[in-house]
Formats: sequence, C-alpha cells, structure tokens
Amino acid sequence: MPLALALAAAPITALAGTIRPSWTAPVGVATSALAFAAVFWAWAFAGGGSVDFPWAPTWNLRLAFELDGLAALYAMLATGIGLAVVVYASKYLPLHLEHQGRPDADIPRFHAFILMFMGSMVGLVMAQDLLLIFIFWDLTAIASYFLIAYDVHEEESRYSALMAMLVTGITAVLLLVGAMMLYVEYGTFLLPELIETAEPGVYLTTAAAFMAIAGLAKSAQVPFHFWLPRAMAAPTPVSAYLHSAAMVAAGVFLIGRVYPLVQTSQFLLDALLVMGFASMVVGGVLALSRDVLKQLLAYSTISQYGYVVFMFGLGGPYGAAAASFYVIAHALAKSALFLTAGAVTESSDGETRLSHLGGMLRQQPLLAASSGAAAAGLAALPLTIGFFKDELFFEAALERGMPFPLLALFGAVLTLTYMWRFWTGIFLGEPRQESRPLPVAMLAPITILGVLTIFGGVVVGPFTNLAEAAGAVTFNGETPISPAYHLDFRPVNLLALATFGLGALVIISRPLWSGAAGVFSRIGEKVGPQKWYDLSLTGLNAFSDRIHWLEVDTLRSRIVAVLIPLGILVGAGLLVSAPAEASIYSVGTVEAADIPLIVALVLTAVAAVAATVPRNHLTLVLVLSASGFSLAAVYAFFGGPDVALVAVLVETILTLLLLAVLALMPSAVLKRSETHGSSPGTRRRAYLVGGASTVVAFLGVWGALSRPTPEESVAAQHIELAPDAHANDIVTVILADFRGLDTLGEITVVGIALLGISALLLRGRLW
Amino acid sequence: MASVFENTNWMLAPILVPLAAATVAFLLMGIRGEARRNAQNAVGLAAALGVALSALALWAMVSGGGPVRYELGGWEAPLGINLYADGLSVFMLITTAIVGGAGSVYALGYFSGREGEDARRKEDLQDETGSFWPLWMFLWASMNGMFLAADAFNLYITLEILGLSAAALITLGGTRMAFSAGMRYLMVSLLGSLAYLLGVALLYGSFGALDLATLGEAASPIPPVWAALALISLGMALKTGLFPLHFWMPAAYTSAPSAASAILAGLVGKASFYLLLRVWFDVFGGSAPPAAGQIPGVLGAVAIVWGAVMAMRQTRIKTLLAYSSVSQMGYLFLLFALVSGAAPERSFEAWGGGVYLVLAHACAKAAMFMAAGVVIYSVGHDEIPRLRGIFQKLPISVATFAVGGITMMGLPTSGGFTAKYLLFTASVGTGQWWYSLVVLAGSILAALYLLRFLNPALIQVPTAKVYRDAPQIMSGTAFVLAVFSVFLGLMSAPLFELLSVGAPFPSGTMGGS
Repeated sequence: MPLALALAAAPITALAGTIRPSWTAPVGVATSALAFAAVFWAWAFAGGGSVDFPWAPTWNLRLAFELDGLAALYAMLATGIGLAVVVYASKYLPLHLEHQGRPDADIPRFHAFILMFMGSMVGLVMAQDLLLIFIFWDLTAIASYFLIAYDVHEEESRYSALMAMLVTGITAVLLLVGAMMLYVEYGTFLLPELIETAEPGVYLTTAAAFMAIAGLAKSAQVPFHFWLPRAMAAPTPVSAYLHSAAMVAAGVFLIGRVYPLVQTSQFLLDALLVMGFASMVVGGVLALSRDVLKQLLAYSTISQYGYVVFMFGLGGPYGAAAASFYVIAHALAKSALFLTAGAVTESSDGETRLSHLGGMLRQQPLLAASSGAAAAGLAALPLTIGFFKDELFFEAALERGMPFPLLALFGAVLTLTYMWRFWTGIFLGEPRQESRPLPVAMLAPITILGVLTIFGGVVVGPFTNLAEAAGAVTFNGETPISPAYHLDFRPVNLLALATFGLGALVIISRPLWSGAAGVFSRIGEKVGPQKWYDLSLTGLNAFSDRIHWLEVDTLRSRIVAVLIPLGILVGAGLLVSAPAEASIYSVGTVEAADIPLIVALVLTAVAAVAATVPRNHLTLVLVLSASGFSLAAVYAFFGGPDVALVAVLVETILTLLLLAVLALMPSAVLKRSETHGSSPGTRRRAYLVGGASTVVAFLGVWGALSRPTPEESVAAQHIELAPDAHANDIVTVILADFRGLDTLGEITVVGIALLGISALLLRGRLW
Repeated sequence: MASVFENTNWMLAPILVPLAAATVAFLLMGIRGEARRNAQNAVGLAAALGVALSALALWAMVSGGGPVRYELGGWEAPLGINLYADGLSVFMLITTAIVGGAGSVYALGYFSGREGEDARRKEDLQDETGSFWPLWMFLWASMNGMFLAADAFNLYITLEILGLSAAALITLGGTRMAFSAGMRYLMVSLLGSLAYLLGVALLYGSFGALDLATLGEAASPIPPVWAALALISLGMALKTGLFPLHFWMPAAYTSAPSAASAILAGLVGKASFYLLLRVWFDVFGGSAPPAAGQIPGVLGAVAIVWGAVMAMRQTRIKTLLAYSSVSQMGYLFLLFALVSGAAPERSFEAWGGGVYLVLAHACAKAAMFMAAGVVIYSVGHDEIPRLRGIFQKLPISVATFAVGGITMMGLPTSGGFTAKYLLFTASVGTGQWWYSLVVLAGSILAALYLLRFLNPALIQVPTAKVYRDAPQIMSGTAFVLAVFSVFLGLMSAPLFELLSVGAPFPSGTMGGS
C-alpha cells in the first residue's frame, strides 16, 4: 500500500503537470504527504506488512516486498524528507528558473523526477529480492541523472550527471554480479533465504564484497567520492534530497540490507573500517577547505556517511543499531542545512560563497535559529538528536577497544569544526550582502526539520525504537541501544567533552591549519580518483579510435580473412579425424583407360593456373572458358553426358556474357587496369588467397573421395521410384516431384535477381 | 479447435503466404502511383497477419503434440523434402512474425516520403519502383522456409533467396554508398552460401542423403564431416557477421533504407545463426568434439568487446547500431562454448539463453533502427553531433532508443536480461567464468555507447530543424516494439516451454543449483 502510493506519486504528478503546470507543486506535495502518511501508518499501527508473489517462477524470481524495520526507517526518511523538499521546491524552483531565464514549463519535470526518485527509494528499501533491489537501484540512478542534469544548458551539470550515472551505474553491475553469484550457488535471490542458507567462506565474501562496493560507490565513500561534490551542480532541493534520504543514503542502506552476509567475514568488516575512516578524514578535511556552501556540505556528507560505514565496520549489535540511528540524525540535520544553503543563496541574489557571506543573523533570525539547531545536531551538541548519535558512535567504538575511540574522536572533532565554520560563516560577523525576505514555504520545512532535531534531543524514544528495529534487520538479531543523558564521567561522556574541547581548540587555531587543508585538497585534485576516471574515459575513446583503423579495409583482404581460416579449419579437421590405419593417404593405380581423363584434368589445371597470368581481359576470358570446357570433357569421360552438355551450355553463356560486358565497358577503364600492374603487396595477397583456396579444395576433395561410396543413397531410391512418380526420366522427377520445393525456390531466386536488377538499372520499369 | 491444429497443412502457410504476397506485389508493380502503393501495402499487411496467425497455429500444434513433420508431395524422407517444426522453428517463426509484422507496419509510413524537400537527405524515402514489398515478402518467405526446412539442400535454396533479396533491399536506397554496400553484401552472401553448399556436397557424398535427421543419425567423426562442419560454420559465421567476419555489416546496415535496416539487423543476421544452430546440434551433435565449440565462443567473446568499443566512437546513429549488432551477435556465439562445457545439465540454459537473445535483440535492435529512420525522415540525417537536444523535437524516437537500450544493456525485466542472465549462469555453472566477465563487460560498454547518443540528445539546447514530421505510425511502431522487448523478460516462461519441445538438450532445472 505505501509502496503503491509512493510509486504512483510520480505519474500522477507528471500527469497533473502536463494538464496544467501550476497544479504540479500542490499535487506533488499531496501525493508525497499521502505516501509519508501511508508509510508511517503502516509501520506504527499496522505493524509492517509484506507482499510476495511469484514473478518468473522458472528462475524462482519473486516480487517480494516487506516493510521491516530497516525499510520503515529509510521509507520514512525518503517520503518525509521528500515531502519537505517538495514543499520547499514549490517556492524555490520558480525563483531558480527565473534567475536562469527559463520557462515555468520546466517545473513538472522536476517534480516528476523527484517523486520517481522517492518511489524508487521506497521500492528499493522494501524489496527483499536482490534482483528487485537492483532494478530499483538503477531507477534511482536514472532519476538522479535527470535531476542532476536539471540545469541542462550548463556543461557542468551534464558532465556531473554523466559522471554520477557512470560511477554509480558501473558499480551497480557489481551488485548484480554479487546477486548472480549467490543465485548460482544457492538458487534464490531472496535475501532472507540467502541469509539463512549462505555459508561463510571465500565465495560468500567475494559476493558480499561486490555488493558492498556498489553500496560504497553510491554513498560516495573514498575512493568513489569524487562524483558527489560535482553532483552539487543540481538545484538545491535535489542536493538536499540526494544527500539526506535518497541516493547517498541508498548506498548505506544497501550495506545495511546485505550486512548479515557481509559480517560473516572479518576481512570485509575491517575493509569497511578503513574505507569509513578514510572517508571521514578526507571528507572532513576537504569540508574545512571549501568556500562554496554546497561543496562544504557535500564533503561533510562524505565524511558523515564515512561514520556510518565505520560503525558498520566496528560490527556488533551496537554498531548496527547505532549506524541506523546515525542515518536518521544525519538525514534530519543535513536536509535542513542544504535547504538553508539554498535559502541563503536565493535571498542574497545568488551568492554561494562562504567568504562573501556573513552576519545574516539579524536579517534572517528564524533561518539562523532553525539552521543553528540543525548544525548543532550535526555537530552533536547536547539537547539535539545529534548528541545521541555521537554517544552511540563512541559507545560502539569503545566496545571494540583501542584505537577506535581515538579515531572516532578525530572524526567528531572534524565535524564540529566544519559545522562551526558553516554556520558562523553565514550568520555571524558583519553583514556582507543584501537579504530579501523568504517565502514561508521555504522557511517552514527548514524550521520543522530544525525543531525535529531538537525534539529528538529531548524525546529520543521513538527514534531509538525505529533505529533498533532497523538494526535488528541489519544485524539479524536483537540490537538494544539506550541513548540517554548521563551526568557522570563515563567514557562516552569524556569523549564528548573531549570533542567539544578539541573542537574549540581547532576553531581557534584556524590560521595554523587552513593552509594545510588547502594543500591537501589540491593534491587530491592532481592525483585523486577523479583524474583516473577522466583518464580511463579518454583512454577508452583513444583505443576505440585506434582500432577503427584496423577495421576500415578493403573487400579483397577480407576475403583472405575468410579463406585462410577456412583452410586451417578444414586442414585441422582432416588431421584430427584421420583414421589411424592411414588409408586416406594411399594412392590408387592408374590404368591405360584413364589417360584421356588425366589429360583433360591436366588441361583444366593448366588453364586454371594460366588464368592468373594474362593482363589483357579478352585473353583472361578465353583462358577461363578453356578451363571450363575441359572440365565439361571430364564429366563426359565420367559417363555423365547430360551433365557435360549442361556444363558446355553454362560455359558458353558465361563466356558470351563476359565478352558482352567487356564490350560495354569504357575502353579507358580497361586500358588503365591493363597497363597498371598490381603492387607487390596485392600480388602477394593474391598468391596467398590462391594457395589457401587450393589447399582447402584439395583437402576437401581428398577427404570426400577417400570415403567408400555410401551403401544407401537416395539417388538409388529416386531411380527406383521414378515410375511411381509418373515419369520416365529421373531428372524430371527430381525437379518436378521429389524436390519440387527446391525448384520453386530456384525459380524465386531468378525472379529476385530480375527484380533487384530492375530496381537498380531500370528504375523498376519491367513493363 | 484441436482438430484444426492437428492438420499439418498449416506448416505450409508461413512459407506460402508471403510467397503468394510477393508474387502479387510483384505483379502490382505494373500499376503506377498512389494506387500501386495502396494495393501493395494492403497485400503486405495481409501477409503479415497471415504469417502471425499461422505462427500462432503452429505454436499451438507444436506445444500440444510435440515436433511436427510434413512430407511434401507425400514422399517421405530421405527421398523427398520434408518440413519439420519443433520448438526452435516455431520460436523463430514467432520472431519473424513479431519483428517482420512491425517492420511491415513501419514501412507503410516510411515509404510515404514526398520528393524534393531536402537535397541533403541520406536516404531515399520513396520506393519509386515499388520493389520493397515484393523483395521483403520474398525475404520473409525464405526465412520462414529456412526455419521449417528439414533438408540440407532446401536450406541452401532458402539461403540463396535470403541473400539475394537482402542484397537487393540494401541497394534500394539508390545511393552510391548503398550500391557498394549491397554489392559487398552480395559477395559475402554468395561466398557464405557457397561454403555451405560445399559442406552439404561433402555430406551428401559421404552419406547419400540430404535429410537433416537422416544425416544426424549417420554422421560420424570422419574427415568429410569435419570439413563440412568447418565449411558450414564459416559460411554461416560470415553471413551472421561474427568477428572478424563482420566487416560487411556496418556499411550494409547503415546504407540500407531504415525500414530495411530494421529487418536486416533484426532478422536476416539471425536466420543464418539459426541454420548454424540447426546444423551444429542436429547434424553434428554427436560428432563434433566439445573443444570445437570454443572457437565460436572465443570469437564471440572478442566480438562483444570489439563491437562495443567500435560503437563508442561512431558519429552516425545507424553505424553505432550496426557495431552494437556486432557486439550483440557475439553473445549468440557464446552458447557454442557453453553447451560443450563441463556441466551437461547447464546446456539447455546456455542454448536457451542464446536463442532467447535472438528474439530480444531482434525486437530491440529493429526498434532502434526504426527510431533512427524516424530521425532521418524528420531531420534528413542521423549524425550524432548535429542531433544535440533532439529529444525536444522527437521525444518518442529518443525514448525508443533508450528503452531498446535496456535490452542491449541487459537490464532486468528485458528479454536481454533473461538471455544474458542465462548465459551468465551457464558460464559460471560450467566453470567457464571468464565468459561471464565478457557478458558483464559487454553490458557496461553497451551503456557507454548508448549514452554517446542519449547524452547529447537529451540536452536542452537549440536543436536541429525538423523539416517534416514523420508519420505517427513510424515512431509509434518503433516505440511499441522497444517496449515489447523490455517486457519479454516477464513473459519468458511460455516461450521457454515452447523452446524445450524437441530441443537438443533436456530442459531439466533451469538456473539455480
């Protein structure tokens, strides 16, 4: 039910949009609100629910959807934040288009795609079948392609969209590979069944690793992170959605979904730890050095999902549930912050750089307060939901033991620092920009998300329950977590205090490290993975160009390409299948009666060889016909006078035809080809072809003739049955009766040849 | 009803209906102008309907009572010529009925072009001589005849008709390029048929029979059988366009009128592949060593990559599609390596996957060529750099391209997915996992070359001028066919049931362990 609603939202809105563009936004808001309500109701009151029916029974493919804890968490995020984003976009988008001088007709497209995004997210999170997961996974990629490239007139948008599509699309294939591997081994795509039956081992680890890589690339973890900051070319609501609840979240979701398979291998968990930590550091440090608001937030996302991956890597029930909790907290805060960035830019007439902003606190007090709450949430200050996310994070790290708490501390300090930079950069200090008042529809979503962040810091229960339910699915077992305020000096609190203290220190010492962060980001641009991406694309193009030259060649040399392998194949076949007694290599006896036959054969052969010598076309025709006529004589010696007569007839016609063609050809053309000899290369090739065909023919004939005549042949029966077919002569019977269909076919061949020639030469004027 | 389907005379219908239509359309060439076109259109559509109906009737007959044999003139094999229909034959008939039917409908619009509106046009959109319908009907009759033939020489005759009429269709455009491509195809086709004929002659010389079933029983690993296998395989690989014998394909598919390109790329290449399947498994099934299958398998694997990489840098849509065909044809040849693998229980999977790709690719590729035809009709050319932003003007055609691309890439729910998935599992299951890598690489490369066109086509920039609107029936047919190819994955069960009738391999458990 929630799924159907979510999937229907996009078509309905698109339809409304085509009828009247102004209806798009309200309809979009209504459908996404409905979808959110349905998910919420289904989870909170109806207790989940599932759909399961066979799709392609031959391969045990099922349409299996279930609203379990993990699905509920992500579906609520997708629909809830989707709702906030759609509301926000209803005002933002007209402003955005106005800035770019584009018509309002582009609005429905945006809503349709963002709702398609939402629908495919809901489908993705509820799917229990790896193949379905793959389908929805690709749907999200397609939706994101169109959303990132929404500002299609800009080169940057198109480049970024293609990059996002390629990076996530190509790694998506790995998801399919992993699924296939599991299917081949266990005969099912259903995750619950797989989790039960799969046995730990190298095979399972490889399959799980493939799927995890797909997830990591989508959630922009190092070294796949480069596409995400580029994707900021998208309009702000898209970024907000992409980062908090859809695209990037989908990557983490996938890891959560296949986690029971992943955690069978300690190696994979360690790999997740490394990648998570690397993303935490790279994202965090780069976020410190960015000037453009959305870029800063983008790197922050990389870093934040690095936390989540890190927690997955830590493992254990605590890691699993804490990761889910972290996703909720991050989604609320990050979407609010992105929407803030968009609001700030719109109200200041398009200013996107931190260094040109400041002092907006007085101009936009409500915006400052709401985004302050969100920023505090991300930076994990007390009284926000973020505090608990870090509490759980530290607890999971502590459970694992040293040195992980220290790594966690490092990440938390980075987060605190760049959030401070973001918020104070915009809102504190001297005003540096004009600021227009913002519409309610843009402020309200930010405020609500900010309030939710605070609300979660006071009443943490519902969020905990959701995270526990999701964690239980991820971990495949109970995962009790108990975030709460404890006013004592337990290690978790000490770490939190250390975060605040160190954070303050880092903020104060900014001049000392800001240069270093800049250098780090420049190094990344020079040798980072984006460079590799560009290199591999240009390399592929160059390779394609190069082999194109091999491809363009003449017909004649292609005939060589056909004949030489043929010779090799026939020869090899003959050698392999030659019987052991070597009877095929024996030569029979020659008797006096055979001499005329041998003379005729030699004549044929000489004529055939001689045909390669003359340059004059007339001579060539005559030599060729000499070869043909002497072959006719061979037939006659073999006791086939009728065949010989037909051969003579054919040869005569062919010779006359060739002579007629020569007579019609412009003499200049003939002269030129006679006087200009062929190049040595061409001649070598010609000899090669000739040699190859000779060998083929010789081997074929030798092989066939060294067989005894078959005992039963249809020819004998044809002769026997000719009277039954009411004819006295066997050729007539074969042509007209036994093999009548072939005759019909041959007549058709003649007809088509006539037709083709008439179409070419006579422009169809047959009569 | 059942009694109607038991009448084996139905088997003649798929051959005789287009043959009769061809003759009528041929005679109609005598009329001039509008009247001729209308009359020929009517005849062509009636034939398409007739083929579809007879294919359905044969489907009912074969899936009800197993393979059917029809003795022409009452002479039983090996004396006379027999027609024989098993699951594979009917499957191929259905393929031609679908793609050929769509091609016929498309041709209604395609050849309605008016003269003289743009001198830069790449294709002649008029069939001034009225030769399209007779040629196409002859071609169709020959394909259906081939699928039903049970006689090696009869197969040769159908091969001849096929090659000649296809070559004539290529030159129908009347341009210089079309003429040279048509000549080249004619040479290739004759060479291929000649190789086949030599093979058949060797077989006849050794076993004294032409009936396929009789030959299959008699064949044993002796030198002439080997030579025949090599000759026939090479001839058919040449006509199907297996790497490195694909050189004629790009020019032929690009220069033919798009209505003909769709048929050529969708069906004609597949017909010779069918012949290869038939001969390889029904005649040489017992006598070819398993290792022989590796030759077409490896060449197919190279073709997948080679064709895709070539496709990436093409600047015309039709050339891009032609190279994509080189790549997709490579998939078909993988099955020869996979059925001869270590696990015989996987054989049906590999064989069925390859055959299913014939249908899926035929639908998708024909649809894409039709879409390219719409572009040419409307804009006058199909050069990708000059088609930036064409989505705004021709949304349905670009969508057709994208939807057809789903099958090319082998994404789920498409027929291409089902087929590639079977090839994939068969290659993993038989321990030849390197082929599975090629299958995947082909899919990724397909995405890349399709984006070559789609990415610029989707930009919103001032775009090329559409100087005339293509008839709705053209873009509509293409789109429906493309969408059909995407749904093929969902309705594969009955088709595989059909394929298992008289299949050379037992269809036990498919997929899974």
